[in-house]
Amino acid sequence: MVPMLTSLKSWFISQPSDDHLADYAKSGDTRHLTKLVTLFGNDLYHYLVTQSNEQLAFDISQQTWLKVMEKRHHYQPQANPKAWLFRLARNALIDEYRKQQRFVELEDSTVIAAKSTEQSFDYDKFNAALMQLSFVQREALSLQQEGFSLDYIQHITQSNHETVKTRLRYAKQNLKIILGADNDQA
Amino acid sequence: MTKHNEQFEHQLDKHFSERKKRHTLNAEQRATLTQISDNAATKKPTRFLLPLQMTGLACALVVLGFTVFTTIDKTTEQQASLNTYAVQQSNYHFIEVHQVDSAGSYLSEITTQKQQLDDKLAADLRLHQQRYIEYGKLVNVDDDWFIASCHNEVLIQIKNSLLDDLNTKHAIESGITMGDMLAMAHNSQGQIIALKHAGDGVKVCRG
Repeated sequence: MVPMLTSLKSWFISQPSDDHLADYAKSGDTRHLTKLVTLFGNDLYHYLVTQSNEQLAFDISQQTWLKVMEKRHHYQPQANPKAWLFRLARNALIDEYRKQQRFVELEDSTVIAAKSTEQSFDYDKFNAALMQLSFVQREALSLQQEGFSLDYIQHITQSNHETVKTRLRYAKQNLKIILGADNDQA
Repeated sequence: MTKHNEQFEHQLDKHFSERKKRHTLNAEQRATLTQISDNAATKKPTRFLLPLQMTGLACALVVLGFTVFTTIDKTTEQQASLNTYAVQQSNYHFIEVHQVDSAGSYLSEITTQKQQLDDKLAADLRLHQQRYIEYGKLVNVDDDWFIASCHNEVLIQIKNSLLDDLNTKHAIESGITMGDMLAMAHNSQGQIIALKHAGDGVKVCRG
């Protein structure tokens, strides 16, 4: 009886939440969707650019928002709706790579041999080094920079905790190595 | 964390911050993504179904209207053909009454059966008054005679008083029976002055 009254109360006194995805899933009101695009559109696009290129990133962005509309009934309110969105985008990106028969390394533990790691910041050089990382290492780094915790990275990439930690460790290690090697070559 | 690692983490943050600034959606791309949600709003199934439902309803009404109209039309035709000689004054637009009053004066009047005659009908009436019908079918013989014009537009009621007057003047041909086509002679005032068979040339209504 009490849970029923509680749910009735929450139904009558439904207040707007911070989870616009939940609001959209519940009501279908596209104003929430527009708000989501405003809130997360750029972050999502940046993640996709880091994992692909500008053209494909924008295509996948559009596909992702369309999928949000299609799958809104499957969404369950959660603490970090952004993670759900990123996971949707990641799946769309990997599907696209598979369609194009482009190989995506989903399991990578490549370690580049250590060299000098003394470095100074140079955007282009840093970016070139980042692009040399494997898909999953770059992804782990990108998601961490996006502010996701290990748990959420694990959720988005559908892997386990240790794998995420390993990817991050290798990503940083390899980045340092590549940057150090470039410095040596210069 | 060593100083070296701190420096690296700092560079990493700086790089991603800068990278994010360089890779943002432009205004056109943002507009495209926003339009996706706007388009979704216009593609609600109910909005698609409503015009379909309204079209279906309109079609159904047209079919119903056509069916009812056809049925009524047929019913009217059937009644007219079944009661060829029955006098149903409501079937006529105008009724002319011709008679001689007690003082011996000739009287005629036209009664409109439809009170809501419009201007066009009134104009038709004026036109009709200028064109006396020459022929009509004797559709009923009671105390009075009822002669219907072709196409059942006008019913002429000839009162017994006028019939007596015409008979006195031998102005009614003998042997006239119900269903005969009659020819009517009028004077310059439109008064009926004689009735006779229409003759072999006019057996039925034409045109």
